[in-house]
Amino acid sequence: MRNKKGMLLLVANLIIGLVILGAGIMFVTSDIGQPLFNALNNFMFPKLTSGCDTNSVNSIQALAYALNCTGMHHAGIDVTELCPPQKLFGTKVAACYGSGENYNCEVQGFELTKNPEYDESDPAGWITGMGDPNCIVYYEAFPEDQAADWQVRIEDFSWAGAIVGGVFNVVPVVGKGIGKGISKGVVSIGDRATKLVPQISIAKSLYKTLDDNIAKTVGIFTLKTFRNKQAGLLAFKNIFDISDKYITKELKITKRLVDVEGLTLQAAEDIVEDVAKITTIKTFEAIQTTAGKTTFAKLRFELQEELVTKMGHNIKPKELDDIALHQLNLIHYVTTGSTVSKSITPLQKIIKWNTYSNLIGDGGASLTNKEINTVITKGNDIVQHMPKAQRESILQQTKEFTQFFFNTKMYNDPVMQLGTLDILSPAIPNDIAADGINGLGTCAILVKKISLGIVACSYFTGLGVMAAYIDNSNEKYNPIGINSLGYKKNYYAVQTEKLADTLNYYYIALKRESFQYPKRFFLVSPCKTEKVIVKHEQIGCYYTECKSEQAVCCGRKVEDPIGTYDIGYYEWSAESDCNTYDEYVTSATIHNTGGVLKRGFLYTTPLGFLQVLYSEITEKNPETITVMGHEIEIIGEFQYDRDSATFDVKETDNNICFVETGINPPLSSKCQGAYARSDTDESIYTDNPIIRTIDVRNGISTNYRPEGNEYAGWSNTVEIEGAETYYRLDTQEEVKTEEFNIQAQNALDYNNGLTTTLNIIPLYMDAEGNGIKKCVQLTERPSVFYNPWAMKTKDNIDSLTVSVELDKTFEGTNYCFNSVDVLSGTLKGTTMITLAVADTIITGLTFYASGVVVPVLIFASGMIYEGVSYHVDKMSAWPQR
Amino acid sequence: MATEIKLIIMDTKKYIQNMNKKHIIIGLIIVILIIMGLSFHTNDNNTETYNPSINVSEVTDGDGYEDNAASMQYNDGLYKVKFEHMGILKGHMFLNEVIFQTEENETFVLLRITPNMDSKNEIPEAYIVPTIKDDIMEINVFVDEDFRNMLANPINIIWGSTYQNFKQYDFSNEYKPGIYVDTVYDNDTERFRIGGNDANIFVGDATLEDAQSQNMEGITGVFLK
Repeated sequence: MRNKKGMLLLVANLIIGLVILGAGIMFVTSDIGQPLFNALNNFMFPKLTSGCDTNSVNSIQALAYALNCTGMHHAGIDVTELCPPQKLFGTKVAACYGSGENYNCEVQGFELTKNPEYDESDPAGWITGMGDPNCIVYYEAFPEDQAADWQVRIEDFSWAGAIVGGVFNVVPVVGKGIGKGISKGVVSIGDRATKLVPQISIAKSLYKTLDDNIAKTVGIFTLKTFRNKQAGLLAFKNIFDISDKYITKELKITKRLVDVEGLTLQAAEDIVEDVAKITTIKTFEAIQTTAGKTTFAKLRFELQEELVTKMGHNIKPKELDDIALHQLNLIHYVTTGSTVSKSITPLQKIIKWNTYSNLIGDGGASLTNKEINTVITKGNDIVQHMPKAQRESILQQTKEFTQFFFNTKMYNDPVMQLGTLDILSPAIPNDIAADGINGLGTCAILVKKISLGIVACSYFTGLGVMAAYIDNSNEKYNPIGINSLGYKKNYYAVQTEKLADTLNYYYIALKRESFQYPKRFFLVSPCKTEKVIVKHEQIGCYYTECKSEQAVCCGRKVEDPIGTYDIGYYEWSAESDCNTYDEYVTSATIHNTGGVLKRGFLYTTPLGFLQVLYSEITEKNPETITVMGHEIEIIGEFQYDRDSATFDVKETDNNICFVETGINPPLSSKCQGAYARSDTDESIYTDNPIIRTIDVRNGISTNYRPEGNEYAGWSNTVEIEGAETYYRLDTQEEVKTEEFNIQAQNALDYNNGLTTTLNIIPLYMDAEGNGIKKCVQLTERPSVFYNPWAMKTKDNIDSLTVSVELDKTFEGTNYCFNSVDVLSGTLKGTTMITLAVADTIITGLTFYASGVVVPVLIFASGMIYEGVSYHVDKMSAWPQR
Repeated sequence: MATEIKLIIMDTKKYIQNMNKKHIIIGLIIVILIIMGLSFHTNDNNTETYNPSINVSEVTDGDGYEDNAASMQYNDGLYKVKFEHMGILKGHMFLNEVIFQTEENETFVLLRITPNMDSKNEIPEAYIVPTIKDDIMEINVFVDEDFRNMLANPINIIWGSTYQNFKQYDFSNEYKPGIYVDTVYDNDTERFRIGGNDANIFVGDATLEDAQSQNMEGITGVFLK
């Protein structure tokens, strides 16, 4: 009766939810609704806004002015009229003084505080903004490592998950049909044994229900974040399906050992644990080693041999078959999962990415055992052909990894381990996935292996990983643009406001404590200073850790299944060896990172225009280059290897930009810019920081933007994105083709026909920086890659440094750059976790609630979180964070 | 009322009599420590003047100054260079100093890069100050007595754009008590004119062969890049 009532309630809720949803969609897409919706959206999430209050904005504008004046003065421009001794920005004073090398500017009373009017009610925002300062200012791109203290930590979620898991284990789920009478996790041995069967059914029912609820929640979290939402949801389903079967088997074996064999529950559990251990080992062996002979029969045989030796008659052949079958599923799952390969080891990765491009296409659904064998065989061959040092390094990591996983105390269920990783979307960086593993380890330790709790815990860890992922998508990580000073709200999906399009060409560094190296400039709220001082100084920028006269450091880039490229590892070798590649590699670049950094040339005109042209450094030393009809003289040792020819660009019907001879501006919007090209290389110059990749096909330079694993056509729109560089090695044609993403910035003035000269101002740009200048400091160089005897490792570049004189008179936390606001972070974190726990418990208990509940719940939680954060900020920081 | 007050006084007396003397002593020590701490804190605020034993500005005739993190800015109008120190202790790279911690949580500074040397603090210290005069770089290599005593091997200076120059450290010139200076010269200063380049100076126990073969293993010393 109660169930019937519950079903009716469910149906009613669903209908109401659907009607509301349908009506809502119809309304917001209508001619009347859409403008209203947009207006509301703009009101709630204004595009050009920041979390900074008026005083902060004035401070930042004054700082931009100070930077520009100092930069222009030291570039030789007469700033007498442009930069009076004092200038007011609201209540903030920018003052410039001195002459020659001693010309400096300062902003008195510089401060950053949160805009009290700003309201964050974006459901995703309250996660991504956890712990983040509200007012952030930075130069070109935010230094990501600085945000480490603010980021969402997966372990917080796994701890919360452990608590929830514990609750599920020890507290009966009240009423609601399926929950009534759920066994307690902590009861006497006999009591537990007798309740194994009902526990299974409850577990199964709850899995299903949780699965649905998770899917709903995931849908919300992933709406704007996961590149492949469906994959994430599918993975969720798969993992629960598989683990459901696995745990059921485990419980059945345990029950039989107790009921039939007469063992104590403890002894039975020990045996099951041993089974898990052996099967885990065998599974990983099967995945990692063999030359493609892992079959069901072989696995069964090996398992049987091991298990029978260890347990005698306690394990029945049927159970062995079940386990083997399960493990075979697991192998299949692992070898075809989209994320697992990224998350395991470099060895695994190498094995995977090489063949995944084909396998992932259809989700591995059609994969046969033979194909799995091919994967393994091929991967094994790659490993065998690798340089010895690299192989040993990878094998060592593999060993450590397997040791971690073979410790069954960490976690008994390999399906959950690996499958949950697959939940974590195809786009999660490896370190997050690694944290995910650790989170699951925490689950296992704290919740033990009781299935219901561990599912809840894993669910939480999954949420944590997703939250971390969203946090990593935080807008502040998107570079604001070249030569720009940005200040912004740091939450997801809120656009960055660019304060000044072009400051000047100087790199801007923040000087911190006396024992610290300068860093890319940034400051965050709360920050109350006496003043900030802008000086023109030298900064030592290092090329790379891997450059010396004798050897270079090759960064081996690998493509993962979703088409992004990571540096797999570095290796020292002679430069000639750097260009070798493995015949099995289907998509990779072995790139000499020693040549990656580019220097810029200050491009000046008689009108005082300051622009920067970036180029590659090569051995060739022509004396001039011609770009867009302008002959540019190269002086000094930094010369440019481009041929003096110039090329026009024409857009074709299929969105590919061809480079042709002659100049015929204006160019199409998609292909705008000027190309310079030589026989050996080609580059692109544009008047916007545009990512374009250049490829050579049949002698014609072509723009390509790889998508996924295919040679994709040029994207439809010009994009300004984060740090990305694409390389490709086309082994099918046995032709090494590097796709350079050579960046131009604020390039040449189209209408400028005046004679130009180049002053040599070395600037740095990482190949992956998309034009964002980068000055690598000693502390930022992994020591393993650094050899102090190496020569010509750095350049001293002209830069503007910002020193901060803190105001020590006020009370509260003065963050600026120098410390972690532990109190505030802890309080906010606790609030966050508490809300998340509450959300999960509520969603877990409202099984029959319609999908409306979850978004409402999260929205409410977000509002509560923000409310609490507001007061925490007020208490812990001056005056607000 | 008076009786109650009497009782309270008696109780208090009894409480004081019953107090363990050890507790009183500990309490007194804590109070003294707090007072000392406050006093130290107050004095600390008044002693912010930094007067290092090697005055970079003085050595460079006003063209250089200490910058962040064991680095120095040099600007004589013609040459604008940032020189940066880094250290190596038995092959392990470090920046400002190396601290060793025992199992008993005692800490020792094994090697430090600082212009504020103290020959009596039992900490090996070194610092290199270059200055450019008439297009020739004068490299002043400072080490203290502790640095000299720490290294069993001869202490060498290796320098030049490709570390091509070598000499054994000459301890005959005592800059200040217990602080020595040895000066070498580098004619190739053109490399600092445009954009700068590595200073490439080393003081420590490496040999010329180590430099040429780029061997780091087992080496102790200080680099200026």
